[in-house]
Amino acid sequence: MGYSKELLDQLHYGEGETLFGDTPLVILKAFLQSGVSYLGGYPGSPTAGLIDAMSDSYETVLKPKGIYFDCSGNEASAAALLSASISYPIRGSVNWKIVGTNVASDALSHICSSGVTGGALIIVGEDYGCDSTCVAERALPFALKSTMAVIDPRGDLDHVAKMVEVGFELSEYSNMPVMFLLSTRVAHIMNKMKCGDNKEAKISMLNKIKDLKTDMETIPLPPFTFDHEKKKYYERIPAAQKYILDHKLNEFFDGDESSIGIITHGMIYNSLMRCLYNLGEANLYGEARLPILNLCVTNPLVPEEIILFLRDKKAVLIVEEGMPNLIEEQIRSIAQRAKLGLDIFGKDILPKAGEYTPDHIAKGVGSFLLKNTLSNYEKERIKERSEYTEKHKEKASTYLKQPVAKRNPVFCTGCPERPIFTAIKMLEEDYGRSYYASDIGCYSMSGLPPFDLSNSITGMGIGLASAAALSRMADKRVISFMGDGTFWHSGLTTSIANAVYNNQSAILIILENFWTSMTGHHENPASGKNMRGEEVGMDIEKALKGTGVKWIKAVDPYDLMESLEVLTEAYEEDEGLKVIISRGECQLEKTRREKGIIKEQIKVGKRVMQQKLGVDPELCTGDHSCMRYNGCPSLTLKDSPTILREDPVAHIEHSCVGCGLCGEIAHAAVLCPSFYKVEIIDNPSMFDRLGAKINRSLLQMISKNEWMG
Amino acid sequence: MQKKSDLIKILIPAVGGQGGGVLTEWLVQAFFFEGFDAQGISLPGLSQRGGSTVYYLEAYPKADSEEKSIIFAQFPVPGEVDIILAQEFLELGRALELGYGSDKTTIVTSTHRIYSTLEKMPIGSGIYSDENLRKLALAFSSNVIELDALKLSKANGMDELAVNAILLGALSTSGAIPIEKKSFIRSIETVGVAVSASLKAFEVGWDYANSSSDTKSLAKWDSFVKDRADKLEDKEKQEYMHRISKIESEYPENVREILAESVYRLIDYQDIGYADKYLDEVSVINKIDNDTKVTNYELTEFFAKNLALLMSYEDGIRVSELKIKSDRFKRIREEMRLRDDQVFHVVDYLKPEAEEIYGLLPNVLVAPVLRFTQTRLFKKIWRRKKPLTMGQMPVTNSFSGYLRLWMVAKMKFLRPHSYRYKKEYKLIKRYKESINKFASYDYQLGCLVAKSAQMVKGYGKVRRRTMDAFYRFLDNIISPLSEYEIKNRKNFDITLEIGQEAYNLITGESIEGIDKAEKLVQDILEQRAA
Repeated sequence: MGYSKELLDQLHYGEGETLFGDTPLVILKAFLQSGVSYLGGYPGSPTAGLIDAMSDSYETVLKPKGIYFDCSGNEASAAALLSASISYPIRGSVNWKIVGTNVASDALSHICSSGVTGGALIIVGEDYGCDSTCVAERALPFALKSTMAVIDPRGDLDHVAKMVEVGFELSEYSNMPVMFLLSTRVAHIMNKMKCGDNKEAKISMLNKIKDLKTDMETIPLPPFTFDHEKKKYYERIPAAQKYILDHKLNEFFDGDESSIGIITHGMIYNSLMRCLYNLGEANLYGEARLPILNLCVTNPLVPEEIILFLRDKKAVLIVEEGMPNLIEEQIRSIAQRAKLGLDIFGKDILPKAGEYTPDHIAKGVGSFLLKNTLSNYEKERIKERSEYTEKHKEKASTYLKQPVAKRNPVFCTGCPERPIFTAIKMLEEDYGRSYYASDIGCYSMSGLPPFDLSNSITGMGIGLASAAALSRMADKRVISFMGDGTFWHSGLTTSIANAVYNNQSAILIILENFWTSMTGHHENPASGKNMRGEEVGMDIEKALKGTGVKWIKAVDPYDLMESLEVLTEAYEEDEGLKVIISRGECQLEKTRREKGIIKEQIKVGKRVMQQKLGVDPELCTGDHSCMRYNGCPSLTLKDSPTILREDPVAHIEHSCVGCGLCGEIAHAAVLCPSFYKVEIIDNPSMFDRLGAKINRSLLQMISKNEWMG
Repeated sequence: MQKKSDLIKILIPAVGGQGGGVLTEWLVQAFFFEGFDAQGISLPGLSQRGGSTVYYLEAYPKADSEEKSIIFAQFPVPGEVDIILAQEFLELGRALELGYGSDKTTIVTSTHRIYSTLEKMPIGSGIYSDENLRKLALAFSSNVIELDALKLSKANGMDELAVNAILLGALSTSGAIPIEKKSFIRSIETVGVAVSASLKAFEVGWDYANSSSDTKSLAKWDSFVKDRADKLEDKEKQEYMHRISKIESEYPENVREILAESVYRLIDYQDIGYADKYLDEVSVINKIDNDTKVTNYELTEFFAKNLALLMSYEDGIRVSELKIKSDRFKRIREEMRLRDDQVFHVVDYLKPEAEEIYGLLPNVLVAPVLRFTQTRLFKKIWRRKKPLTMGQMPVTNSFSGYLRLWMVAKMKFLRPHSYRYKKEYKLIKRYKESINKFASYDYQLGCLVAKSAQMVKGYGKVRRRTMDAFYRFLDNIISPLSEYEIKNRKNFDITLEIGQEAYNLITGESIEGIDKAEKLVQDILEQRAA
């Protein structure tokens, strides 16, 4: 999909102009306004859009400005990019999803110790609602232990852009890298942004560094690390606090009811304001009855600011999403040190788990208000309104006896990964279930219906390694799945080198589809080019051989019988690592690319053959066995043509791309004769037409002229 | 408060990958053109792979002063949504189940369904009922505008993604949204995705919602019969019409269509005599209905349906015949949207098991050989466990492919003497006897048994397993339960309840459901005994 030229042209806007777009575009614009020299990251939800925006604008915007961009090998290599800012006044930013922080941690710890001279911004996709494949964790604790400042913007694109620019300033002023949290909902806003002028970077690919510095003091090794530690707590944090205070980065909103107040952070402010609006405590412009402190920088906190807000108040509520509730604990300790005798509420009355949506916090906020409201009339109103949503939800969820059917994500039409799981389903019929160690990627969906093939998902590139002990302790075969993106991310070392080194007995299936598809189709080392469009050739099979894997077989996933045979062969082998590479390009990407080409070929009169599959509705008896091996979105149901059958029959929609799997399944699993394949020839050759003509006359002869095909 | 100053909150429940992002962008831009502040949120990610997803949008008239700006929320709040614009019917249901609809919500929804994997998998029908979804929609809205946007897009020669613009058109006429039509059109042009197709689709939705008078033409009995009669040869046609008048005089209205369809199917399957045999069998069971003086003829209905299906079991002859029928190729041409200047080949995936092939041969030849294969001597020589199969992929619209199937189809005359026929008739006999027996215990029990033969379906091993499940259903579920109730009780409540549950277990999941059902019955009987 990507960004259109019209959208990207807005990146050149100057002061006073208004850009329309989504969050990634706005952030990229803010980067340009900050004069960045380099950008990088590893794609993952919800920050994947940023990599798209950077990659799509590379040729027309970034490269002409001399801005270095790379789609890093993994999050550790992305974090390592920030090293450029340690000794030089160079601004740069990298990004990844929340769990990527763990992969990046080694590099981050060291860079945080050295400190930075140029502004270094890390955009971390905070996904506390788990809208992608991740766990519910927050990034704040990591920043605290490594001493990074943390910016948490409100849900407003102008504010997001402002905070990006502020982030670089803060980083330079405090010599700390700054973590910028981009939550899922904020990452996908569509709105306008008021632009400023773009800034040229002093150092770039066009204006290179002339003399390299050797600054031993920045090397994170003893004895310098002792000095780094001192700097962190005696210089960098106080500097950041001063900057935050001087530039009023945290927002105070006044209210009439000055004896109580609420402290919140980032986008949770938006949820809180909607919650207060629904309770009748605020209007849509954010004017509330009680004062609010919104922390847009959640680390470090500024004690003076907090004390200023807490002083003279009887009670304060802290609305902080996620655990551990470090903001709340710090505020409690600030209050205790300042000997303020007020009541502080937080996770004691608010939910400890779950995303803080306006309705999720309504009850907790309501009970805080009730504790601190005197008028009975007001109390009744608050109670009624704060409980309304819960009651309404309860009513809606219990209205029907039979809950609405679930819909889980599925492999796309024609996906080359699906047939492998079909083959494993068939293998199970002969050998029973194996231990399936899955990994992170589209194939994580193998754990969902109709396949249900997943015993573990342990993290990126870790699947095979996670089954190391079980390979020898379980009376089952271990079958692990890994995509090509995951292979090059870390799988080669973490899983494969480990398996060869420790002589692990297992079957590893590498699903090489030449794209990192799950994140929205990003190039990876298997694609043949990088995200700057430069050609690179990286070969999984050679890498495996180099590591010392002896048993390697490649299969064409659409040839189900072949896959099944190779799988059986691997299964029958007792010892060692058996690697099957299933090679088939991501169908979405392939279709997208070929659609135009085929159209063009047909237009100029070339002979083109395409195929589609179909089901004879009269022959299908509606037992749906084919569905249980498949789960293709184009293979669906429709009413049987005969009123005698009550159950629906199988049906293939026009969206079929003709991969042929359903026919292969009908064949391999000996299901039924209902499936057929139609080969459609555009611009048929003389030979095709002659053949068709001869056929027609012969068929008319035997069918006594009834033939109409 | 004036109407226009209200914050407008729009939720778009959708199926991932169906163009909801563009729909949201159209709305955001249209609000901008009307002088609103607006914010759209889309949630791609895992859900984009055909899972459930939502888009959310808020809009508010621009504030007077530049200083003040709206604090938008990024999440919809249950009970506080003004408009639900549903791209698919089940997703509407899910949004409503989560409480997003309320008495202030206007719903604009497409009623087409994209079935979820879990709905597709059961051996019976797992499709969630539209009726339930409609109930939810009426209970949690002030106004519902429904249209089958997918059908409309197909009828107008558009692709699936046109659903979005059609819905936008329908929304714009609903009066629920303060946006002029021209702003929508401008917004579609500005967003720039498939502009001309989207504008056309927008108009389709607009026109439809404006002139909504859905005239349903019910299939009339006469045309129902004529459709079938026309497919038969002249001589058979006369005979068919003769049977139809008999059906008209002897059977109530609600089973006539079933009988007309069945008689046509069996004439097509074998011959007139075979269809007569069917009618004779049905009349026996119909007598039970007549004697019981029921009004809806449930027993006849179930029996008539299932007997026709059992009698027209799909053997190689039937498969070959259907594969080379001329209307089949006509249908394929239409479904694949083929043009006359294209050449096409139809390749069939055929893989009969050995039994499906030798089953066509006369029983007198097959039976002794099969008896031999059961001996220990044979098993010593023949170690293969999996059944033999004969895979082939003929090009059915080529002379050689066609001829092969044509020759098999010509073996029809052998069918009544074949091994397979004997096997299927054993089942039919058992089916009839069971209905007679259990209907004599209790009419409803008879109906349950009559209905349960729907579970017998599939080819090869699937058919063997469904047949086996049906026998076990009679032997291990219905028989022991009803016998227990005859001995110990006055009614058949337990048999009816557990029998239905067992039927649901089998058809609601997979054939293995029969194992669970048997266990259930065993447990119940043991408990009762203790």
